[in-house]
Amino acid sequence: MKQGFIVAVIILTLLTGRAIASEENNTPATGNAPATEKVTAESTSETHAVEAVEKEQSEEEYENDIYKSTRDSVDAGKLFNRVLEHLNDTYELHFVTVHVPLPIMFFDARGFHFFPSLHALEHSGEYTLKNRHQMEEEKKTANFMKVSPFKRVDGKPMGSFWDFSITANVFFMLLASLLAVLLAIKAGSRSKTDAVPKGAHNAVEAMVVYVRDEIVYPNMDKKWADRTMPYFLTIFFFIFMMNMLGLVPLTKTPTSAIAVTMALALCTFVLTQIAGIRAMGIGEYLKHFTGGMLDMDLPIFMKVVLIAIMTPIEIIGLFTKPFALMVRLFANMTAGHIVIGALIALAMLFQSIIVGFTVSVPFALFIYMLELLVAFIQAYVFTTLSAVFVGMMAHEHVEHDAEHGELVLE
Amino acid sequence: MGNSAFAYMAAGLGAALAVVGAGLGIGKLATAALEASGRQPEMAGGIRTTMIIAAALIEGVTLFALVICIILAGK
Repeated sequence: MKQGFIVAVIILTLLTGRAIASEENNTPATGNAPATEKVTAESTSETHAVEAVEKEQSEEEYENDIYKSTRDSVDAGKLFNRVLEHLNDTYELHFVTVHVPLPIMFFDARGFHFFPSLHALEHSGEYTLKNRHQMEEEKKTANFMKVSPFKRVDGKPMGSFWDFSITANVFFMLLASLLAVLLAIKAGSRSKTDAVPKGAHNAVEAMVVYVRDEIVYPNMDKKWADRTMPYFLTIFFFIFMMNMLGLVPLTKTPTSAIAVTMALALCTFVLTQIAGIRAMGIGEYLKHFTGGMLDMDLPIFMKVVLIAIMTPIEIIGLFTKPFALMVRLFANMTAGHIVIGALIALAMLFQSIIVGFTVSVPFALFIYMLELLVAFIQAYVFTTLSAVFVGMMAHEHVEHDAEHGELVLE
Repeated sequence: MGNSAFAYMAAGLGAALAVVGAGLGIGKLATAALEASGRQPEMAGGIRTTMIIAAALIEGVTLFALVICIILAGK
């Protein structure tokens, strides 16, 4: 059983390695090169434009060719870039060599557009994919909100671009939430006649009780804990599912995209502020931005100076907490994947199957096992820190109650 | 040596330095936590929670540094 598992992991690791090596022009930024060329050739009669595109593409192919002309010299930098590219979001699901189409939806200056797949978009005659050079150039100069991976065939500007596509990350995020919901339903729908819970119920109950007793209750008073419990359970299971889903071979981790973690951190930020306003009242809430200096018994000059110093610090402190939450989760999930990718890339760098079996596979397996731990710890840390922040904001209220002898925490 | 060579070197040195700092920090943290829970085993649960939060904060700062290194190496 155990040996079978290890063999399966080795085979999948090698397959992933093969996928990295064989994938030439399939990233979303470059797209399907022949199709782009064909559409460009069909849609425009200006031959020099076609030539320019072809030239750009050949340059790009040269840049992508990590093996260059001789088999024995591999550019480590380009190989590393190839590993990083694997973390990029894509408009298709990539399973080694199979590409599963996903719907593309976006708003631009002309309104809402829907294409059932990337292929449909390229053959619509309205839009094509930009190649990587154009993207890089635009990212340097243009407003990042307006940089789109697509361009209009008639050459006009896209205007402001809002992407609502079901990309690979969005797909796996939806899958993770679906799994979390199904697990909750499975665990919750135990028949009332069974006296002893078993299976999924036990597993989920253990985790729910853990979140309740170890994360939420120690950090805030019971009223707030019961009120915000659904939120903490939701983010815990959602992040946990997303992190674990990324460890299944051939999938992506949505939490290794900074946009996803930003949305999660934003949810915590909003909850924290709402908790602060509800617990303290709007007046007290605004007052806490002075760092408590307003109520302090100080000379008036001192007070003004201290408030002038403390207010910006408090306001910055407001945003650094969710920012740190965002970067922590993102960086943890990304780092693990980069390390695994880099270890597999070592075999390609040395062009040696011995290195592959003695270094790449064992070390990648080790990091993989570590990632299983990290997937849980990061979900735990995110939830804990969210609870700590909410508890801090609802704290003022707690002290108030304590004076009246109502509060019993712990 | 071109600009990118310096970028790779900076990324490597930066990652190494960040990891040294984080290793020392988390090492000290774990030492203190283990000693504390050795003295008072009944508090081990609470100490572990506090330790993980503190470790996450240290790790967060380290990862800020590592993200910069990754950006440099991707140049």
